[in-house]
Amino acid sequence: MEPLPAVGSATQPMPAALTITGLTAGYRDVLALDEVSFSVPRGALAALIGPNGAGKSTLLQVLLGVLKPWQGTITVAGHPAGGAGRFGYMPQSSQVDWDFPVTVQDVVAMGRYAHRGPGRRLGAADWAAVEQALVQVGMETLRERAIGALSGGQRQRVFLARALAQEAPILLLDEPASGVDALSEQAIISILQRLAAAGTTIIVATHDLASAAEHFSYVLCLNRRLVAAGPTDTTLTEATLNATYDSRMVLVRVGERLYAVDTGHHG
Amino acid sequence: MPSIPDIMASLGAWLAGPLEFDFMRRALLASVLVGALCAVIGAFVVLKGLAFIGDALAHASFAGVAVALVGGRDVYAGGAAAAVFAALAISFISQRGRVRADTAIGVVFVAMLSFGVLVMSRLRNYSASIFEFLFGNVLAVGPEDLWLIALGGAAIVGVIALLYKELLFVAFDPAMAAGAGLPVAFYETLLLVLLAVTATLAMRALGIILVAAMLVTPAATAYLFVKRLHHQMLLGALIAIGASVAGLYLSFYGNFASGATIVLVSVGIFLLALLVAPRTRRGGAPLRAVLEQ
Repeated sequence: MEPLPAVGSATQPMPAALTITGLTAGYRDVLALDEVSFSVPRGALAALIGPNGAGKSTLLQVLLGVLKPWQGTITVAGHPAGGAGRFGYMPQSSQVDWDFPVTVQDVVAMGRYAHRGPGRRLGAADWAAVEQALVQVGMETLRERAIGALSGGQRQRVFLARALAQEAPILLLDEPASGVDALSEQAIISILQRLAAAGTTIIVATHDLASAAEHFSYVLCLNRRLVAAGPTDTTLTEATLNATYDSRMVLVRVGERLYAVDTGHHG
Repeated sequence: MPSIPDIMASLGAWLAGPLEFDFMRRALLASVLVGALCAVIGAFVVLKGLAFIGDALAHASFAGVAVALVGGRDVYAGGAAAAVFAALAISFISQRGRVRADTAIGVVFVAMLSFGVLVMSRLRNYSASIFEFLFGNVLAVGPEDLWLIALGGAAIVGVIALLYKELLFVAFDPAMAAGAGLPVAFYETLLLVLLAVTATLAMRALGIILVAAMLVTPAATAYLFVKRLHHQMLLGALIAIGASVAGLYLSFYGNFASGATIVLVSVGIFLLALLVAPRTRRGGAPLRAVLEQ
């Protein structure tokens, strides 16, 4: 099907925080992203959705600079990012080595490491940012605890605090709600919404379509190619979803909540 | 029944005995320095699963040692050059991602070890030299060796202290470190180079086969008790120092090979630690994660 027209239309006068053009990438010789182009306006809270193997993780890896793209360019606020820009990142819980000997505060402090060059210690301003981030996620009393001794929701909040402490213009989150109870998820989302309102651009890879529809201002629909990108209200339609997931889903609105119901088998 | 002063006096004599000899004083200092150095960098080895790489780099250094011996050059310089070369080769091959990293390591290390044996087989009495380099002879550490171990070890610990936050960040979360703008590949390669130099410095005291044991065992023992990386390094160094001193005394009085005794003492400490270490703090988490998937 035709890719839907992308982004930045007249309804969004804000400058793009992140622009990706013709991005193609993969592992060894397996193509994972095919000519993906989109841009995300500053202050957007964007849900990155798509089926397993759609390239969501690959896209995050390329943005972080872990994976070199085969082709294409990434610009951050109009400047070439060269693969490794200044991105905050919250990894998927399963990607973290929970047995690594670090405390909650150690992890949050990592958010400030790139602010001080090699051989330089963190300063008062850095520790203030660490403190503020710990308080924001309500982890200040657990700062001395080893990360392996935390519950699922606490674990996510530590990594969110690290991303907050970094004060990066763009935040990338990989499945932040996996392994987390509904209360923690709500807490994470309200922090993200406040951050976005203050001008941080946030991209969240997620499987939760209902949450995407309810809480996110922007969606990026990926299935190796970009299917659609735009404000949630106009972009997250049945047609887009079915093109993204190769499926026959129906969107059902119950009160405020939106549910995607799969009515057929996957292609 | 012997009185307490008698016991103290004989214990004092027992402890002082080996120290009457110059070579034993040097051996003690060398073992302690090498053990502590191995434990500090060993924290990364244990956390990042680099034991095989550490072993491989030590073996690869043998190629340089052999060439230096045959050519009449400094064996440390030759060993270090070969080990650093192997570190860069492993780093290059694994970052290119064409073959699995452990395959690359296996090929590099076998090739360089065999080359070393081949070169050394041209020497007369080569089997004696090979034995000494493979299993170490800390009693043969000369004053210059000791200086080299002390200065080299200080340099490596200095680099780790200076770049501690970067090395920690890259070891714990390379993806975020890259996103924040750190040159991740540089720090990963640097760690391998430090590991290569450590393995070479430890060659005289432990031998290239036993280096891997000291890289892993004290750091793994400390890991059971700590919740911060630099605590693991400090505790690991203390454990290694204890094992080195105890091992050297045992080898002196029992007439055992020194490197092997030190390694066995540190393994003994590790096994004891497994019994007494707190189980609940982190224990079981990885297994649980595996089962839940």
